[in-house]
Amino acid sequence: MHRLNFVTRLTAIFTALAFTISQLGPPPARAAGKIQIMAATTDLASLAQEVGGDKINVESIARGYQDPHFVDAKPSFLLKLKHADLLIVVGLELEIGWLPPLINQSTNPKIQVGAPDTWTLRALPEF
Amino acid sequence: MKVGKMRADFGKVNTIHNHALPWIDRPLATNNLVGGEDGIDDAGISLSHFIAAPKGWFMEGTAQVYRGDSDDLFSAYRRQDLGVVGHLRAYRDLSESTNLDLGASYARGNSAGLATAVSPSAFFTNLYGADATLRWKPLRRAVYKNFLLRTELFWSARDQLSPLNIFQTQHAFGMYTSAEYRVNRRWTVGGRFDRSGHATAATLTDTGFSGILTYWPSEFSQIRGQYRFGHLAVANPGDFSNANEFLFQFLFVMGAHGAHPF
Repeated sequence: MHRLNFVTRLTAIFTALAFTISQLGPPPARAAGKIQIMAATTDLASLAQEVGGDKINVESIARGYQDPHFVDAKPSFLLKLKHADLLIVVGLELEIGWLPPLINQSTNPKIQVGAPDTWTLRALPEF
Repeated sequence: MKVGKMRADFGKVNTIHNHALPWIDRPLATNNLVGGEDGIDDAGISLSHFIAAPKGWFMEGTAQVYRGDSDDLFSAYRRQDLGVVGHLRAYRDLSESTNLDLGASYARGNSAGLATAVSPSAFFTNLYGADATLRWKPLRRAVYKNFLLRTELFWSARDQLSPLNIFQTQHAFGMYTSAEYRVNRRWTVGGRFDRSGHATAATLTDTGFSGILTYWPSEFSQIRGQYRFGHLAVANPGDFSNANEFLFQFLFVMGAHGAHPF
Protein backbone atom coordinates (compact mmCIF):
# COMPACT_ATOMS: atom_id res chain seq x y z
CA MET A 1 0.00 0.00 0.00
CA HIS A 2 2.84 2.30 0.96
CA ARG A 3 4.51 1.57 -2.38
CA LEU A 4 1.38 2.23 -4.43
CA ASN A 5 0.92 5.53 -2.64
CA PHE A 6 4.49 6.48 -3.42
CA VAL A 7 4.13 5.66 -7.12
CA THR A 8 0.83 7.50 -7.32
CA ARG A 9 2.32 10.54 -5.63
CA LEU A 10 5.37 10.52 -7.90
CA THR A 11 3.26 10.19 -11.05
CA ALA A 12 1.02 13.03 -9.88
CA ILE A 13 4.05 15.24 -9.17
CA PHE A 14 5.55 14.55 -12.62
CA THR A 15 2.25 15.23 -14.35
CA ALA A 16 1.63 18.44 -12.42
CA LEU A 17 5.21 19.62 -13.01
CA ALA A 18 5.07 18.89 -16.75
CA PHE A 19 1.69 20.61 -17.10
CA THR A 20 2.78 23.66 -15.09
CA ILE A 21 6.01 24.14 -17.02
CA SER A 22 4.23 23.61 -20.33
CA GLN A 23 1.97 26.55 -19.49
CA LEU A 24 4.88 28.88 -18.61
CA GLY A 25 6.66 29.08 -21.97
CA PRO A 26 5.60 31.19 -24.93
CA PRO A 27 3.39 29.61 -27.60
CA PRO A 28 5.24 28.41 -30.71
CA ALA A 29 5.88 31.11 -33.30
CA ARG A 30 3.28 30.76 -36.02
CA ALA A 31 2.23 33.38 -38.53
CA ALA A 32 -1.55 33.84 -38.47
CA GLY A 33 -3.39 31.92 -41.18
CA LYS A 34 -0.28 30.56 -42.88
CA ILE A 35 0.21 26.88 -43.56
CA GLN A 36 3.33 25.48 -41.87
CA ILE A 37 5.25 23.19 -44.21
CA MET A 38 8.36 21.17 -43.47
CA ALA A 39 10.40 19.68 -46.32
CA ALA A 40 13.18 17.14 -46.07
CA THR A 41 15.49 19.00 -48.46
CA THR A 42 15.97 22.56 -49.68
CA ASP A 43 14.90 21.82 -53.27
CA LEU A 44 11.54 20.53 -52.03
CA ALA A 45 11.20 23.59 -49.80
CA SER A 46 11.91 25.84 -52.77
CA LEU A 47 9.27 24.11 -54.90
CA ALA A 48 6.74 24.42 -52.09
CA GLN A 49 7.57 28.13 -51.68
CA GLU A 50 6.98 28.75 -55.40
CA VAL A 51 3.60 27.05 -55.24
CA GLY A 52 2.45 28.38 -51.88
CA GLY A 53 3.83 31.91 -52.11
CA ASP A 54 2.82 34.06 -49.15
CA LYS A 55 0.19 31.58 -48.01
CA ILE A 56 2.78 29.29 -46.46
CA ASN A 57 5.81 29.17 -44.19
CA VAL A 58 8.22 26.53 -45.37
CA GLU A 59 11.46 25.25 -43.92
CA SER A 60 13.77 22.39 -44.82
CA ILE A 61 15.44 19.99 -42.40
CA ALA A 62 18.58 19.22 -44.40
CA ARG A 63 20.64 22.15 -45.66
CA GLY A 64 21.59 22.43 -49.33
CA TYR A 65 25.27 21.79 -48.60
CA GLN A 66 24.55 18.76 -46.41
CA ASP A 67 24.50 15.11 -47.46
CA PRO A 68 20.78 14.21 -47.05
CA HIS A 69 21.72 10.61 -46.24
CA PHE A 70 23.49 11.65 -43.02
CA VAL A 71 21.31 14.16 -41.20
CA ASP A 72 21.23 14.15 -37.39
CA ALA A 73 17.73 13.76 -35.94
CA LYS A 74 18.21 16.76 -33.64
CA PRO A 75 15.49 17.49 -31.07
CA SER A 76 15.24 21.05 -32.42
CA PHE A 77 13.62 19.55 -35.54
CA LEU A 78 11.00 17.87 -33.36
CA LEU A 79 9.44 21.16 -32.33
CA LYS A 80 9.16 22.28 -35.96
CA LEU A 81 7.65 18.96 -37.04
CA LYS A 82 5.25 19.01 -34.11
CA HIS A 83 3.61 22.15 -35.50
CA ALA A 84 3.79 21.27 -39.21
CA ASP A 85 0.61 21.07 -41.27
CA LEU A 86 2.36 19.27 -44.09
CA LEU A 87 5.58 17.27 -44.49
CA ILE A 88 7.15 16.77 -47.92
CA VAL A 89 9.80 14.08 -48.29
CA VAL A 90 11.78 12.65 -51.19
CA GLY A 91 11.02 9.06 -50.26
CA LEU A 92 12.65 5.97 -51.79
CA GLU A 93 14.24 5.59 -48.33
CA LEU A 94 16.52 8.61 -48.79
CA GLU A 95 15.55 9.81 -45.30
CA ILE A 96 15.29 6.33 -43.72
CA GLY A 97 18.32 6.88 -41.50
CA TRP A 98 17.00 9.92 -39.63
CA LEU A 99 13.41 10.91 -40.43
CA PRO A 100 11.35 8.01 -38.93
CA PRO A 101 12.33 8.74 -35.29
CA LEU A 102 11.66 12.44 -35.82
CA ILE A 103 8.17 11.73 -37.20
CA ASN A 104 7.43 9.28 -34.39
CA GLN A 105 8.61 11.52 -31.61
CA SER A 106 6.94 14.64 -33.01
CA THR A 107 3.57 13.06 -32.03
CA ASN A 108 1.99 15.12 -34.81
CA PRO A 109 -0.83 12.99 -36.28
CA LYS A 110 -0.86 15.06 -39.50
CA ILE A 111 2.57 13.87 -40.62
CA GLN A 112 2.63 10.25 -39.51
CA VAL A 113 3.33 7.67 -42.20
CA GLY A 114 0.18 7.19 -44.29
CA ALA A 115 -1.40 10.42 -43.09
CA PRO A 116 -2.93 12.61 -45.84
CA ASP A 117 -0.62 15.51 -44.98
CA THR A 118 2.61 13.67 -45.73
CA TRP A 119 3.63 13.96 -49.37
CA THR A 120 6.19 11.64 -50.86
CA LEU A 121 7.43 12.63 -54.30
CA ARG A 122 7.58 9.05 -55.53
CA ALA A 123 3.83 8.84 -54.91
CA LEU A 124 3.23 11.82 -57.21
CA PRO A 125 4.57 10.72 -60.62
CA GLU A 126 2.76 13.55 -62.38
CA PHE A 127 4.39 16.15 -60.12
CA MET B 1 3.77 6.56 -24.96
CA LYS B 2 5.69 3.28 -25.07
CA VAL B 3 4.79 -0.05 -23.51
CA GLY B 4 6.99 -3.15 -23.28
CA LYS B 5 10.51 -4.13 -22.35
CA MET B 6 12.92 -1.27 -22.88
CA ARG B 7 16.07 0.40 -21.65
CA ALA B 8 15.05 2.98 -19.07
CA ASP B 9 15.43 6.66 -19.86
CA PHE B 10 18.00 7.13 -17.09
CA GLY B 11 20.88 9.33 -18.25
CA LYS B 12 22.53 8.76 -21.63
CA VAL B 13 24.57 5.58 -21.62
CA ASN B 14 21.74 3.50 -20.12
CA THR B 15 19.57 4.22 -23.18
CA ILE B 16 22.21 3.14 -25.72
CA HIS B 17 22.33 -0.43 -27.05
CA ASN B 18 25.68 -2.20 -26.83
CA HIS B 19 26.37 -2.06 -30.56
CA ALA B 20 25.81 1.72 -30.64
CA LEU B 21 28.17 2.60 -27.77
CA PRO B 22 31.28 4.66 -28.53
CA TRP B 23 33.30 2.12 -26.46
CA ILE B 24 33.50 -1.67 -26.32
CA ASP B 25 32.62 -1.86 -22.61
CA ARG B 26 30.36 0.22 -20.40
CA PRO B 27 31.70 2.75 -17.88
CA LEU B 28 32.63 1.58 -14.38
CA ALA B 29 29.82 3.69 -12.92
CA THR B 30 27.28 1.75 -15.00
CA ASN B 31 28.64 -1.56 -13.77
CA ASN B 32 28.92 -0.47 -10.13
CA LEU B 33 25.82 1.67 -9.66
CA VAL B 34 23.35 1.41 -12.54
CA GLY B 35 22.47 -2.24 -12.89
CA GLY B 36 25.65 -3.79 -14.27
CA GLU B 37 26.17 -4.64 -17.93
CA ASP B 38 22.47 -4.53 -18.83
CA GLY B 39 21.65 -1.33 -16.94
CA ILE B 40 18.08 -0.48 -16.03
CA ASP B 41 16.27 -2.68 -18.53
CA ASP B 42 12.77 -3.79 -17.62
CA ALA B 43 9.17 -4.18 -18.76
CA GLY B 44 6.91 -1.22 -18.16
CA ILE B 45 5.23 1.87 -19.50
CA SER B 46 6.83 5.17 -20.54
CA LEU B 47 5.19 8.54 -21.06
CA SER B 48 7.02 11.51 -22.63
CA HIS B 49 5.87 15.07 -22.99
CA PHE B 50 7.38 18.13 -24.70
CA ILE B 51 7.69 21.07 -22.37
CA ALA B 52 7.47 24.53 -23.86
CA ALA B 53 10.70 26.44 -23.16
CA PRO B 54 11.95 29.87 -24.15
CA LYS B 55 15.01 30.99 -26.14
CA GLY B 56 15.31 28.01 -28.48
CA TRP B 57 15.54 25.37 -25.79
CA PHE B 58 13.92 22.00 -26.37
CA MET B 59 12.69 20.37 -23.18
CA GLU B 60 11.16 16.96 -22.66
CA GLY B 61 9.97 15.22 -19.52
CA THR B 62 9.67 11.43 -19.29
CA ALA B 63 7.99 9.37 -16.57
CA GLN B 64 8.30 5.58 -16.56
CA VAL B 65 6.90 2.84 -14.34
CA TYR B 66 8.47 -0.63 -14.47
CA ARG B 67 7.76 -4.09 -13.12
CA GLY B 68 10.66 -3.53 -10.71
CA ASP B 69 13.18 -6.22 -11.77
CA SER B 70 16.41 -4.89 -13.20
CA ASP B 71 19.47 -7.13 -13.02
CA ASP B 72 21.38 -6.61 -9.74
CA LEU B 73 19.90 -3.15 -9.09
CA PHE B 74 16.17 -3.55 -8.43
CA SER B 75 14.09 -6.59 -7.42
CA ALA B 76 10.34 -6.91 -7.05
CA TYR B 77 9.67 -9.12 -4.02
CA ARG B 78 5.93 -8.52 -4.32
CA ARG B 79 3.80 -7.60 -7.32
CA GLN B 80 3.35 -4.05 -6.04
CA ASP B 81 7.13 -3.48 -5.73
CA LEU B 82 7.38 -1.28 -8.80
CA GLY B 83 10.33 0.66 -10.15
CA VAL B 84 9.98 4.26 -11.33
CA VAL B 85 12.21 6.40 -13.52
CA GLY B 86 11.97 10.12 -14.31
CA HIS B 87 14.05 12.07 -16.80
CA LEU B 88 14.16 15.72 -17.77
CA ARG B 89 16.05 16.68 -20.92
CA ALA B 90 17.06 20.13 -22.14
CA TYR B 91 18.63 20.60 -25.56
CA ARG B 92 19.76 23.62 -27.51
CA ASP B 93 21.49 24.30 -30.82
CA LEU B 94 24.35 26.67 -30.02
CA SER B 95 25.06 27.05 -33.72
CA GLU B 96 24.38 25.11 -36.90
CA SER B 97 27.27 22.79 -36.03
CA THR B 98 27.28 22.75 -32.23
CA ASN B 99 24.68 21.70 -29.71
CA LEU B 100 24.35 21.14 -26.00
CA ASP B 101 22.31 18.36 -24.41
CA LEU B 102 21.63 18.36 -20.65
CA GLY B 103 19.69 15.89 -18.53
CA ALA B 104 18.66 15.03 -14.99
CA SER B 105 17.39 11.59 -13.99
CA TYR B 106 15.91 9.80 -11.02
CA ALA B 107 15.18 6.10 -10.45
CA ARG B 108 13.76 4.24 -7.48
CA GLY B 109 13.08 0.60 -6.78
CA ASN B 110 13.53 -2.09 -4.19
CA SER B 111 17.15 -3.02 -3.55
CA ALA B 112 18.16 -6.28 -5.24
CA GLY B 113 19.83 -9.19 -3.51
CA LEU B 114 17.85 -9.08 -0.28
CA ALA B 115 15.53 -12.05 -0.80
CA THR B 116 16.64 -13.56 2.51
CA ALA B 117 15.95 -10.38 4.51
CA VAL B 118 12.90 -10.34 6.78
CA SER B 119 11.07 -7.58 4.94
CA PRO B 120 12.93 -6.94 1.63
CA SER B 121 10.17 -4.64 0.34
CA ALA B 122 11.21 -2.05 2.93
CA PHE B 123 14.66 -1.65 1.32
CA PHE B 124 14.95 0.89 -1.50
CA THR B 125 17.60 2.08 -3.89
CA ASN B 126 17.39 5.70 -5.02
CA LEU B 127 19.50 6.71 -7.99
CA TYR B 128 20.14 10.27 -9.14
CA GLY B 129 21.88 11.19 -12.38
CA ALA B 130 23.03 14.24 -14.31
CA ASP B 131 24.43 14.26 -17.84
CA ALA B 132 25.87 16.79 -20.25
CA THR B 133 26.85 16.34 -23.90
CA LEU B 134 28.51 18.81 -26.23
CA ARG B 135 28.53 17.91 -29.93
CA TRP B 136 30.33 19.58 -32.79
CA LYS B 137 29.53 18.39 -36.28
CA PRO B 138 30.03 20.80 -39.18
CA LEU B 139 27.25 20.05 -41.67
CA ARG B 140 29.41 20.43 -44.76
CA ARG B 141 31.96 17.91 -43.48
CA ALA B 142 29.77 15.85 -41.11
CA VAL B 143 30.93 12.45 -42.34
CA TYR B 144 34.59 13.47 -42.07
CA LYS B 145 34.93 15.51 -38.88
CA ASN B 146 33.02 15.64 -35.63
CA PHE B 147 33.64 15.81 -31.92
CA LEU B 148 31.63 14.73 -28.90
CA LEU B 149 32.30 15.42 -25.24
CA ARG B 150 30.08 13.76 -22.65
CA THR B 151 30.01 13.41 -18.90
CA GLU B 152 27.58 11.67 -16.56
CA LEU B 153 27.36 11.79 -12.79
CA PHE B 154 25.57 9.21 -10.65
CA TRP B 155 24.60 9.17 -6.99
CA SER B 156 23.29 5.99 -5.42
CA ALA B 157 21.58 5.60 -2.04
CA ARG B 158 21.02 1.90 -1.40
CA ASP B 159 19.25 0.43 1.61
CA GLN B 160 20.74 -2.90 2.65
CA LEU B 161 21.78 -5.04 5.59
CA SER B 162 25.26 -4.58 7.03
CA PRO B 163 27.44 -7.64 7.75
CA LEU B 164 26.03 -7.43 11.29
CA ASN B 165 22.48 -7.58 9.89
CA ILE B 166 21.76 -3.95 10.72
CA PHE B 167 19.77 -1.72 8.35
CA GLN B 168 22.07 0.74 6.58
CA THR B 169 22.07 3.05 3.57
CA GLN B 170 25.17 3.13 1.38
CA HIS B 171 25.77 6.46 -0.42
CA ALA B 172 28.03 6.00 -3.45
CA PHE B 173 29.11 8.33 -6.24
CA GLY B 174 30.26 7.52 -9.75
CA MET B 175 31.08 9.39 -12.94
CA TYR B 176 32.69 9.16 -16.33
CA THR B 177 33.88 11.68 -18.90
CA SER B 178 34.31 10.66 -22.50
CA ALA B 179 35.56 12.41 -25.64
CA GLU B 180 35.66 11.19 -29.23
CA TYR B 181 37.01 12.86 -32.34
CA ARG B 182 36.43 11.73 -35.88
CA VAL B 183 39.70 12.32 -37.64
CA ASN B 184 38.48 11.45 -41.12
CA ARG B 185 35.83 9.33 -42.80
CA ARG B 186 37.35 6.04 -41.62
CA TRP B 187 39.01 6.75 -38.26
CA THR B 188 37.83 7.94 -34.85
CA VAL B 189 39.92 8.30 -31.68
CA GLY B 190 38.52 8.59 -28.21
CA GLY B 191 39.20 8.40 -24.50
CA ARG B 192 37.26 7.92 -21.29
CA PHE B 193 37.95 8.54 -17.62
CA ASP B 194 36.01 6.54 -15.02
CA ARG B 195 35.62 6.78 -11.28
CA SER B 196 33.00 5.01 -9.22
CA GLY B 197 32.25 3.70 -5.75
CA HIS B 198 30.50 0.36 -5.26
CA ALA B 199 26.76 0.49 -4.59
CA THR B 200 27.02 -2.11 -1.82
CA ALA B 201 30.28 -0.77 -0.31
CA ALA B 202 30.68 2.94 -0.99
CA THR B 203 34.18 3.13 0.53
CA LEU B 204 35.52 0.93 -2.28
CA THR B 205 36.26 3.18 -5.26
CA ASP B 206 37.36 2.04 -8.72
CA THR B 207 39.25 4.33 -11.09
CA GLY B 208 40.07 3.73 -14.73
CA PHE B 209 40.76 5.19 -18.11
CA SER B 210 40.49 3.93 -21.67
CA GLY B 211 41.83 4.81 -25.08
CA ILE B 212 39.69 3.80 -28.07
CA LEU B 213 40.49 3.57 -31.77
CA THR B 214 37.72 2.86 -34.30
CA TYR B 215 38.00 2.08 -38.01
CA TRP B 216 35.07 1.86 -40.42
CA PRO B 217 35.94 -0.14 -43.55
CA SER B 218 32.48 0.84 -44.87
CA GLU B 219 29.07 1.97 -43.55
CA PHE B 220 28.29 -1.69 -42.88
CA SER B 221 31.09 -2.72 -40.54
CA GLN B 222 33.20 -1.39 -37.71
CA ILE B 223 36.49 -2.50 -36.18
CA ARG B 224 37.35 -1.18 -32.72
CA GLY B 225 40.18 -1.63 -30.26
CA GLN B 226 40.27 -0.38 -26.68
CA TYR B 227 43.01 -0.25 -24.09
CA ARG B 228 41.59 -0.14 -20.57
CA PHE B 229 43.48 0.50 -17.37
CA GLY B 230 41.70 -0.13 -14.08
CA HIS B 231 42.75 0.70 -10.53
CA LEU B 232 40.14 -1.52 -8.95
CA ALA B 233 39.24 -1.71 -5.27
CA VAL B 234 39.21 -5.19 -3.74
CA ALA B 235 37.70 -6.54 -0.55
CA ASN B 236 39.18 -4.03 1.94
CA PRO B 237 39.37 -0.24 1.66
CA GLY B 238 42.91 0.69 0.61
CA ASP B 239 43.55 -2.59 -1.23
CA PHE B 240 43.69 -2.23 -4.99
CA SER B 241 44.38 -4.35 -8.00
CA ASN B 242 45.65 -2.86 -11.27
CA ALA B 243 44.30 -4.24 -14.52
CA ASN B 244 45.67 -3.62 -18.03
CA GLU B 245 43.32 -4.94 -20.69
CA PHE B 246 43.03 -4.86 -24.46
CA LEU B 247 39.56 -5.27 -25.93
CA PHE B 248 38.74 -5.93 -29.57
CA GLN B 249 35.40 -5.67 -31.35
CA PHE B 250 34.20 -6.36 -34.87
CA LEU B 251 30.65 -5.34 -35.82
CA PHE B 252 28.93 -5.87 -39.11
CA VAL B 253 25.44 -5.11 -40.36
CA MET B 254 23.22 -7.37 -42.43
CA GLY B 255 20.00 -5.86 -43.68
CA ALA B 256 18.29 -2.67 -42.66
CA HIS B 257 18.56 -1.29 -39.13
CA GLY B 258 16.21 1.36 -37.83
CA ALA B 259 17.65 4.75 -36.94
CA HIS B 260 18.73 5.33 -33.35
CA PRO B 261 17.23 8.26 -31.42
CA PHE B 262 19.52 11.30 -31.24
